Amino acid sequence: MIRSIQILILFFSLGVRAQDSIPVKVMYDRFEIQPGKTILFQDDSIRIDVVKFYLTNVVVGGSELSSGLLFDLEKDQNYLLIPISQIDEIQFTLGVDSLTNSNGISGGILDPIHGMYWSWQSGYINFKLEGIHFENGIAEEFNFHIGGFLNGYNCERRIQLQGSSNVSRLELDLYQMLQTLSTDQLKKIMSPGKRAMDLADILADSFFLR
Amino acid sequence: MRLIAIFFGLIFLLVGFRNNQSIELIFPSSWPEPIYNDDNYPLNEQKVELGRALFFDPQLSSDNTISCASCHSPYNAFTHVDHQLSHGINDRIGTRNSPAIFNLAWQKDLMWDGAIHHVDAQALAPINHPDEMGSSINEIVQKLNKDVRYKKAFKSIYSDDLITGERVLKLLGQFMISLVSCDSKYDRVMSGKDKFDEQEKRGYELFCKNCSECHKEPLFSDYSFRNNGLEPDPQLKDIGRMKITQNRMDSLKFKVPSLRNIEFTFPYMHDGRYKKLTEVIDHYDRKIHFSNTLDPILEKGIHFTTNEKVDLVAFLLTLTDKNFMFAPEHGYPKDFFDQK
Ligand code: HEC
Ligand code: HEC
Repeated sequence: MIRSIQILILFFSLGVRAQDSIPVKVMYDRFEIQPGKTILFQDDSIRIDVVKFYLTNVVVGGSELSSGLLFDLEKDQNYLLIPISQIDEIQFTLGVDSLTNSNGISGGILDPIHGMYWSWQSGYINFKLEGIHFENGIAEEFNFHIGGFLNGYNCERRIQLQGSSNVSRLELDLYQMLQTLSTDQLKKIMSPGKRAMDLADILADSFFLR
Repeated sequence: MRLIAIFFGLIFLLVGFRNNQSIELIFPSSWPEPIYNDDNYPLNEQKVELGRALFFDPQLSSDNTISCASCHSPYNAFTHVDHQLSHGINDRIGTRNSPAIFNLAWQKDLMWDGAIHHVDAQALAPINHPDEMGSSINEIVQKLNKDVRYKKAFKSIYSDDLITGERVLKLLGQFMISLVSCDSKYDRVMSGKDKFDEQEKRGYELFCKNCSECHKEPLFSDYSFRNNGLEPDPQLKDIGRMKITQNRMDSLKFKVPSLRNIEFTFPYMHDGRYKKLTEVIDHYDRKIHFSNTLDPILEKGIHFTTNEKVDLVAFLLTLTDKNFMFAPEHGYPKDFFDQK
């Protein structure tokens, strides 16, 4: 009896050891973004205060991870726990899939206490980016809340990336996303619609394995 | 070893049984099947009870003064009377009239414009609204986690006493889904237990001919979004369903409300512009405002003689379900709040 328990323990600890984690970072070009710090942007600057997003239904090495990630720039560390140490390929959804959305409220990282659920209209917010754009001495706030799954505006995006032998992290590069600030389009997107769909497309092309 | 296993098995069974007081919605057999799918989260007596406590608890607002029941009182079929637009914390006034809450299990979309697609998500709207409860689910969860009455109740339902946003919202959902109103005089007439008087009968015929296309029996709504010809209020500038779908064809469309308990759910319409049923009927008779999205059924208005109006109102009053409104299991849960 005791022996078999020992074997069981050994088995489990081996299982745990075979697990690895891959950090998730948010970048602007080659620089890692820090909350509240200012970055140079064109001739002016940008301060990023909030970056929060969901990575869900993550598939690595052919098997689906038991949990996704609510990335939050404010947290010290953001990482995905993966069953293997080497990533050949990763697939994930940026946001929350429409089936989960249509079932109403979920728990864990999907608990609305995390501030990623819309209240005046239902559905999870897939991605949040907030900060201030300083341009010619004028400070202008920007708020991008990207989400929505109904009425033809489904903002979930499935992303597939190929790895190489020495993948060390998953990066979201906000370079393209932030370029939209220099156009004269609205700097506050808080509801589902065409603009949110376009931004979701940009974000879907902004993930990299490095 | 085996004894221990049996022991744990027994405990599991006991806990299982205690948590398994599932309940079913009771409604007339002639009704359609509910849309609410309770396979994921079956209705449970204890959960409905705890959801009721949350519904009546002013701790859900930032200054502990307003509960869901403040705007959705059971004695008015869970709506707010005497104010056109609902009042929230600090007496701030919202932009819409609070709808009555019952038979939600048959509704796909909630709110006048269908903004909410699931009953469990519903509570977030008033909780976060600065003019309604002005709080956040996070703040509420923190408050409730300090309240021993809730700790105890959560423990007995979930086996741990953790109060999460998910649980709070689903409990409120359970209570609201359990609210079924199906015991009006109309229902008794339909099941052969009662009879309309002559006036009610004439009213019912007028209703079937003129109103039931939208206010469809037996729920008295088809829960579609339509423009019933209300002149838009220049101050509120409420575009209705279009806000959600961003489709011009949905401009000025609002959800067809059920007419059950209509005697008690005044004021009427999404902005509460009418106080009396006779005013509503006058609206259909001669105040239809023409616009691109006006429902074709109403293009020529619906005209009634004075007598017909009286008959129609007499019929509408048969939709009152006092047993629903005054059911003790829908009222203030005194026992819960009185515990120390
Ligand atoms: C300040 C008043 C106020 C408070 C407090 C309030 N509501 Fe409401 N409620 C409203 C109004 C107004 C609407 C309609 C809003 C709309 O359609 O835009 C509404 C709509 C609803 C609906 C949709 C009904 C339908 O038929 O579409 C439900 C369900 C509901 N509320 C539940 C709740 C719950 C649960 C709470 C407590 C967490 C609550 N309400 C607190 C005013 C209030
Ligand atoms: C074309 C569809 C349609 C027809 C026909 C129709 N209604 Fe309505 N009714 C609506 C809609 C939509 C609303 C909600 C409008 C709003 O608030 O913007 C409504 C609202 C009402 C209300 C207010 C309910 C509340 O809770 O505020 C009453 C009462 C009412 N109708 C009665 C009638 C009667 C009686 C008839 C027949 C004479 C009738 N309706 C015919 C669509 C219709």
